[in-house]
Amino acid sequence: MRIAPRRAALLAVMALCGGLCVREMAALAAGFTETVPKGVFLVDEAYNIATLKERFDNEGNLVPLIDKLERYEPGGSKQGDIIPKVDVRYEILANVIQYGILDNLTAAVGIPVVVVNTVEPDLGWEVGDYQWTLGRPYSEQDFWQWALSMGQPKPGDWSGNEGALCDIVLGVRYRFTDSLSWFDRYGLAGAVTLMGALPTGKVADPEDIVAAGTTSWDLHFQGDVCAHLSVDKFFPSRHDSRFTLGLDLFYEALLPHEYVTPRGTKNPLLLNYRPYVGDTYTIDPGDFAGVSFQVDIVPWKGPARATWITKGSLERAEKLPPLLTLTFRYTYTHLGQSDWQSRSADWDWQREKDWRPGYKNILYGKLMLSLLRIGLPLQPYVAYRDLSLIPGKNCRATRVVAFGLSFPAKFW
Amino acid sequence: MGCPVDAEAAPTQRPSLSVWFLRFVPPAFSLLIFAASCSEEAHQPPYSEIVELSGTAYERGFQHGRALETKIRELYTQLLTSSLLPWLNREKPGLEDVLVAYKDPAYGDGQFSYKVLLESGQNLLKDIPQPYVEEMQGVADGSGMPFEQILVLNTFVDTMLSMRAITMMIQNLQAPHIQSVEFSGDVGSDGVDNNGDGTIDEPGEGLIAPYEPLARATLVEVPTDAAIRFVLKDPDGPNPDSIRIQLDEEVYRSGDSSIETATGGRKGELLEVLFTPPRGLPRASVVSMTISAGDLSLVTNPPPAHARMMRDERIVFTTRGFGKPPHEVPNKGAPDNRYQPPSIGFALRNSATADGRMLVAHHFALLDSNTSHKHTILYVHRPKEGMPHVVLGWSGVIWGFSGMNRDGLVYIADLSDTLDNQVVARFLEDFTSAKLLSSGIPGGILGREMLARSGSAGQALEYLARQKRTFGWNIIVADPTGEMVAVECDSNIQNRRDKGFFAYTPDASDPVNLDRWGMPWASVGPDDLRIASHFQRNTEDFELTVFGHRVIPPQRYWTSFYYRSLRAFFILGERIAAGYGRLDVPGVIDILRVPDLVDHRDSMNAAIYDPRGRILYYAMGQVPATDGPFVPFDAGAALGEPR
Repeated sequence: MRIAPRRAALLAVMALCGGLCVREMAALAAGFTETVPKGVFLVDEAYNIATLKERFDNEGNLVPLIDKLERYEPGGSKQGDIIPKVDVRYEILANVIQYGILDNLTAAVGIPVVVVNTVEPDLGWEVGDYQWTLGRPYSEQDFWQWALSMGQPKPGDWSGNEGALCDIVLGVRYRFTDSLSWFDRYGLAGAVTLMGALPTGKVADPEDIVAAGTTSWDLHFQGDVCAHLSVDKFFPSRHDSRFTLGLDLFYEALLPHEYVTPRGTKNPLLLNYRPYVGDTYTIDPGDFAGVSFQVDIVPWKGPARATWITKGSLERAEKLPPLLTLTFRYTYTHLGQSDWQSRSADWDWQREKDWRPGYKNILYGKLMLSLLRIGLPLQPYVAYRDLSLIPGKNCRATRVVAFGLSFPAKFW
Repeated sequence: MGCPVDAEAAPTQRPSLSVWFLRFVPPAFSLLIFAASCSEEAHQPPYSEIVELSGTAYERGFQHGRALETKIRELYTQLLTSSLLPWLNREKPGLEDVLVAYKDPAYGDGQFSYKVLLESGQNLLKDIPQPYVEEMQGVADGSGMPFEQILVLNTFVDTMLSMRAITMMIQNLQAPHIQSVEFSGDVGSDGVDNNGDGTIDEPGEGLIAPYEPLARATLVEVPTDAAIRFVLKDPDGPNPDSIRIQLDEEVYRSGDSSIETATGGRKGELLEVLFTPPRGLPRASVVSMTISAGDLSLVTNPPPAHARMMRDERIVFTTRGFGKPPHEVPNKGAPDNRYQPPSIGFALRNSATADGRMLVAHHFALLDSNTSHKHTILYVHRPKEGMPHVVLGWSGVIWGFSGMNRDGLVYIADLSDTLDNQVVARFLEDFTSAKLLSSGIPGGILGREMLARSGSAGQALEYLARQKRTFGWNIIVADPTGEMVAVECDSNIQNRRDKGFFAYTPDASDPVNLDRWGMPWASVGPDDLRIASHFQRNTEDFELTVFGHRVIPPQRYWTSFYYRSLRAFFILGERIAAGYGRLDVPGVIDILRVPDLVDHRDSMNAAIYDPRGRILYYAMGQVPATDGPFVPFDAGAALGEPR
């Protein structure tokens, strides 16, 4: 679920808002090393729709998000398998503000807020053994009647987290190559980006079997602490400056968090862990490490007009970002083992087995329309991020569509 | 488009910072990424463990509780709190109608099942030898769990088995049952003793009335064109649309042209079913026929709603030309994947094994519920008093259903469903004011005590015969001298002269070891014995008659174990016979893994004991247990030199 500010709006746009001042700038495309010019704010609002139905297992097979649950009649063979076909949907408004402290040093804050969050368990049923006392195997209806008589209701659809904050992300990027002429000579730029998450996200109610939280761990999109080392390669003298290549190495760590163990107050058969797990347990999530390759393409620079933004200068207008920019990115993320720590080694294992070391293969595409050249200080875009197209291992196969709008602002 | 670098405008200090970044940041990143890729993968924790215990009973219990604290809590929660207790709570409305004591509010609010099991456990405490009570107290103290919960964990099997038997019997009484079976054709004039009663062609020879479940063929030399007529009876009336007949492996249901039904009786309580096999019967063959039906009632509490179903009844007969009398035709039945085989065990020696070595094998199956197999333990007991011994059990449970002591005495035990149990005894004493209270020494503790007190099979037998037993058990005891004895016992609540205790060996020279046709009870040769989960010898375990009318019949009439146990028993016999004289540990493992003998749902552990070598090979920690390796364990080294 792509909700954080990371790179999302680092496509620096030099423009003026409110007619405060005009500044010369280079016409920039997207890149891993871009920063916001000193004294300028860049506001980015994106509406993200993330859907999740499947995951890649330890063999790299695309499987339902939750394994089937085998149910047994005490001493009376198998009743059947509950087959969850869970559909999780997050709709998140990502609010990102970047500020240029220096021309090559940008600070950012990302405040993601959940608009809608639903989980549809869609529990199917696979019949088990013949039960001679019934004269038939348990049907799905038979099973849930049986379960209800034991105090366990059938989990239904869940909706919640409206207006809930996710973890707020703070970040800073330093482009350290500005003063190195060697980099300039070869059209290269390098930057380091550091980010950290504030624990403002909401943890799901432990007693709900169908529910979702809004922390970094729940969203599993980025770490609580992240460090990126990036290089961009520009081609100022070739191809009419229509290509930029980027390389980003990253390491991200999710910090251990303690959680309350359910007691089974709502789901007495399925969530009655506390007597052996303990009152609380800790999850120490596996770290992320990986690399991204990115290419920015400018298929259409578009017309440039002398407008109020450039104080009537056509020359300046032609240096504003192109009307249309396409970004394609591939990210390989290695996932470390996530470690559950409770009093029960088996309970831990039952969770850890789905979070063994693995990897994500992420494809990302973005189409941005910059209207600065025609006098509107707005940059609408649409982006798509997919983890299902290239198989991964021990990761969720999330798909995210984002509709965003960024605009610059300067207040002093 | 260009690189946003403006070297000329940069402050003088910037280059050094940039160079610093260039020198240190990429290597630091490389290290971080390398470290991330080296994270250790999680693995499944062991589902079987060896726990060594020594000292007094309390000390051993405490060590047990301390070592397995979490696993004990886990087993208790998953097997009892989340499974058996709520399952049993569903029975409260039905039970309190009969046993009014349970109408007391103290049994309300979901406390019914726990209180029933606890009260029964507390009642059992009166008979459990003190050291085992102290051991349970030790487990409680070591694990930090209440003694009551440890008591329930150690006694619920005995209580539940008795309760289950009662429930099964009541269900059986309320469901359709077969009154008679009649084979058409000339069985009354074929010059053959078709029913094995010693008389040839007596009137009504083709009619079996009243119907009786048998471990052998019901009729032999049936004509291949015979039709079979059943009469079913049920208080609510058998449902003609619910008939299911399985002829060998072929299934016929109501509506099939081969099945004709007619309702009878004053209230429609009778249903006559005429089954005409569409292609006739195979010549000179053993034919198995399984019949089931439901009635016209609809039981809605506890859910799910269902009709009252009769137990599948299996009749075996032969067709003309097969040539064997009924007692030589076992009721093995045909494959039926609706049912799992129960626990089995066998002992071999001398001429049965490749090297004359004694081997005792056991596969116990009862209740896994996707839980028990994760808590299997091989306990090594070195008591301060008594014989050191090993026993295969579960976390928090101080007993098991098989074990071996320092002298090489081995015991294996299977349950054998019976109404000759202590809960029934209590009911018969107090009737409607009774509670479901078991008494006696729980089966597993009997096994432990045999190992702790006996040096030979003879001593073990002597001990066992004297004890107050909670339920029905089939047991084999064997020792390194080659002595092997099978015991079938129950609680003997009717004070029968046989004391509910039957011991037999493979020795065919002793009539006590032979049935009325002169066949060994449970051997295929001179050096083998086997058990399953039904009585071979104790066939009249319990019968209650009122004014000459049988109200409660013996085991074979009602237990759901009966036919599947018979099938496993006879297949096991065939396998032993096939390998006679060539069997060794791998050969025995092969037998234990025969699909027809493996319960794929509730398998709990399997073991092979070598009493002379004092080695055991155990398989546990997965379902079925026999799917895993048989791990050798040198019990001799663990327990010390024999006396």
